[in-house]
Amino acid sequence: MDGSSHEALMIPAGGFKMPSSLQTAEIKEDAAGNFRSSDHLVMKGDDVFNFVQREVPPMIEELLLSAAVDKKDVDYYMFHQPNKFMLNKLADKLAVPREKMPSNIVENFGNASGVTIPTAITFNLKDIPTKESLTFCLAGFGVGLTWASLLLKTEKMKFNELIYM
Amino acid sequence: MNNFRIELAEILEVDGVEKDELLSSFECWDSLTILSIIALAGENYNVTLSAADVNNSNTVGGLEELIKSKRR
Repeated sequence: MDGSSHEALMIPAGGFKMPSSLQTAEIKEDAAGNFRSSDHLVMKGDDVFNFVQREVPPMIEELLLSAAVDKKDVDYYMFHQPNKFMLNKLADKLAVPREKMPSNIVENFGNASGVTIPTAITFNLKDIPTKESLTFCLAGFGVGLTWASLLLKTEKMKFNELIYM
Repeated sequence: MNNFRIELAEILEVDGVEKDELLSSFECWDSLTILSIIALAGENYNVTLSAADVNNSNTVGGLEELIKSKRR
């Protein structure tokens, strides 16, 4: 992360720089016709989309190169899922088959930030990781803006269940 | 850029688009449509657009020119 795009995804008020107040709670209309106050989360969707398309593919290529792992030898690419659209575009840009990068978490659970990664593993793979060892490529990206990735080889997992509370 | 208008028409959910048509006049015009255009420009023409770029181009022809100019 370099902090240069902190305004792309943030809640302007509520911290030491701009404490919440009656003024920050005032709801105003923006240029696109959305109503929000400085206490609300604001996302510049185009900036975030372009950031993900620009930074994530080279990060993954570099990770695989440094680990000397071929793209096709990765069993699953489990990435953070802000939405289906962005993830499918990312799979296409990386030339990874969409079945290796499931994008069904938001439609079932919403965008739970970094938690979408373990949710994607448990929801999609069920007991598969308990029966065989797998190679995962994990990646997270978002607020900051920040981006990071991890190559993970798992032995047979003890459990891989989604527990509904 | 031969297929650009066909690709754009598909995003705008219409059978065809004309040069002078206003982008904001299409029924499905919203932020996700703009994002789809940004993705199209990146994928097919290797051009990075912002939402403001797309909005400021106003018309089908304006958008076409914008992408052409950024490719050079």
